Amino acid sequence: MLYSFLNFCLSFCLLIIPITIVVLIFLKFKKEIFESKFYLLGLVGLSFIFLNKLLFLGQTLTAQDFNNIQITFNHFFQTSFREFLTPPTWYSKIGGGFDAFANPIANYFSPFNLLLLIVPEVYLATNLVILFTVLFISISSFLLFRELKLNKSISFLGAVLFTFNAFVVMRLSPGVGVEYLYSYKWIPFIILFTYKVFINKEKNNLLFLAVVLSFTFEGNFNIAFGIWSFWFLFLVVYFGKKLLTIWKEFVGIILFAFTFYSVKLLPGIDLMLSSSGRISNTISGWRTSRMKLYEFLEYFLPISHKFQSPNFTFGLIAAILFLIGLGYLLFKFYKTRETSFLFKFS
Amino acid sequence: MFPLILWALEGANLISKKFKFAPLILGILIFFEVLFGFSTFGTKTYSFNFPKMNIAESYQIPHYEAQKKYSGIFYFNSNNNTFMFPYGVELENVKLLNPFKYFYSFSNTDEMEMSLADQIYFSDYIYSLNTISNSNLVLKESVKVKSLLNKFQSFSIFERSGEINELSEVNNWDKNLYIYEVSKNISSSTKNLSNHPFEFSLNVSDKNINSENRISTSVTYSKWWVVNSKYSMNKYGLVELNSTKTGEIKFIYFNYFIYIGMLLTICSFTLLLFSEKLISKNN
Repeated sequence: MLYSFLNFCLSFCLLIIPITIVVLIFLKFKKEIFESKFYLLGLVGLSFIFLNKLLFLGQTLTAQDFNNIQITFNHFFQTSFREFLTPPTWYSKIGGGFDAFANPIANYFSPFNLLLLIVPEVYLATNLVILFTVLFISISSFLLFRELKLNKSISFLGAVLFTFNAFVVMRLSPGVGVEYLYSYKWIPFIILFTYKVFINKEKNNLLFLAVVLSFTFEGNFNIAFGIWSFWFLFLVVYFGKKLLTIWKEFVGIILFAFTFYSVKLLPGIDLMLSSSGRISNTISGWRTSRMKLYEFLEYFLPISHKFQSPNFTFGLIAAILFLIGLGYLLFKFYKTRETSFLFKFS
Repeated sequence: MFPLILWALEGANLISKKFKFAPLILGILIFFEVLFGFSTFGTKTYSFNFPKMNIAESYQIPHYEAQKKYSGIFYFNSNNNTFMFPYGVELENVKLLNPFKYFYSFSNTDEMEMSLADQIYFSDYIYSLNTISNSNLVLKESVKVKSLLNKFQSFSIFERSGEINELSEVNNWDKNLYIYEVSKNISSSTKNLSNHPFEFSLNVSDKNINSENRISTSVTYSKWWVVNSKYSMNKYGLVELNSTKTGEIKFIYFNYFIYIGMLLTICSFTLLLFSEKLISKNN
C-alpha cells in the first residue's frame, strides 16, 4: 500500500510537474505569442522540415548514445507505465539489473515525456521528443529576442540562428549524443529570466529562473555545468564589485534549483558516490586529448567539419552578417570613440 | 555562440534599414544553408549529418533474430560490447547478464569476467565466438555474422565493423556466433525473469543453494533491496542471500533518495504555484 501510494506520487511528479512548468512559463508570454503567431508558425514549419526524415520517413538517429542509452531508457519508461502502471526504477534486463531512475543520463524528469506514453512506438515517440525539443528552442529563443526589444523579423532571424545551427545539427549527427540538446533548450529561458530578474528587477520571476536553471540537468551534466558556469560568470561580470548585494537572490536561486530537481539529483548523487561503471577516478580515452586555442577557434569556421560533422559554426551567411555587424560597430567606435555600445548586449 | 548571434543580428538590423524583409529572407536562407549545405564545401556538407539508419534495420541483425526464440538469462563470454546493443536487448524479451559501460550501477559488475563454470551456474544461455565442449551445454544456434557487415549500412554496425574484422584477422575467428543452452538439471543461481520495475519474486529450490550454504541470485546488488533475509554482494556484484530457506523470496526495490527527492520536488513545485497565485492576486 505504501509503495503504491509513493509510486503514485512519483508518477504525478514525473508526468505532470515538468509539463505544467512549461505551460506556466509560456502563459507568461501569451500576449507576445498571440501577437507573433505567424512568425512562430513559421518556426514550427521550419522545425518540421528540419526533422522531416525522423517524422515522415521512418528513420532514426544513428548516434550510439541515442540508440544504446536513450531508446533503452525510453522504452523502459514506456513499459513501466504502460504495462506495470508504475514509475521506472529498477531495470532488470541488462547486467543483472540496475537503478535506471537514479542514472543521471535517464531524463525521466522532462516536460516531453508524456509523448512516450501517448505514442507506443518508442522510436517515433523519441523522434517526437526531439521535434518538441527543437520547437522549444526556436520559440523560447524568439521570445528571448523579443524581450531584448528586437523587432519581430530580427527576432525570427535570431531564433533561426539559435535553433538551426551547426551545434544542433552536430548533436543529431552519427556518433554524437543528442542529450546535450535537452539542456541546450533551456538556455534562452535562462538568459530571459536572468534579464528579467537582475536587469529589469522583476523579482517575481526569481523562482522561474531557478527552475529553468535546474532543468539543465535534464540532459548531459557536461553542458549543464557549462551553462551554470557561464551564468555565474555573467553575474560576476555584470555586477562586478556589487556582486555581494545580490547574495540573497543568488543563494535562493541555487537552493531552489537544487530542491526543485532533487527527485533526480538526490538518487543520482547517491548512485555516483557509490557506483563503479563509467564513474572512475582516472581519465582515459578521448577525454585525455588536449586542444590548442587556434584549434578551438577552428570549430567556429563555417567550413570546418571536425569529426565528419560541423561543430559550433552558425553557417556562412550568418558569419557574413556577423562580420557586417562587427564592422559597423567598429566603425561606430572609430567615429564616436565610445565603447559602451560595443558591450550593449553583454 | 550567443554573443556571435547577437552581433550577426546587429548586421541584419543594419541591412533591414534598407530592405525591410531582409531578416526574414536571410532567416530562411540560413535555414536552408544548414539543411542542405553548399556544394563548395565538398561532399561533407551539413546534409551528411542527417539520420541514415532505418528502424527496421535494427530488427534484422542476425543474432537478434536468432535469440528471439529463447527466453532466459544470456551471458556473452567475450566481446559483448561488439555484438550486443542495449536497445536490441531492450526491444526483445531477453536478459543479458553482462553489464554495459553506458549504465551506472551500485555494484562492481564492470570487472565481471566469469569462468566457464560460473557462466554455466549463473545463466541459461551462453553466447560464444568459438565452439565450447562441455557436457552441461547444448549447441542451439550457429549464427553467421558475416552477412551483418555486408548487408547493413547502418552506423551502429559500421562503427563495429573494425572490431569484428580485427577479431577475424588477428584471432582467426570464423565470423560465427554460437548460442549454447545450459542443462536445467544442474545446480544454478536463482534467476530473476521478471521485468517488473521495482518488485519480483525468486523461486528458490535446493539446487539454488551454493556450497557455502547461501542462495545465489542473478540480481545485481544494491543497498536499497528490501528482502526478507540478510544479503551480501558476491564477487560478480550479484546478490547472495544469507539463508537456506527455499520457496518464494520477494524482492522490493525501495531507494529512499528517490522518494525524499520526490517530496522536495513536489514541495518546491507547490511553493512555485503558491507564489504565482500570490503575485497574480497582487497584480
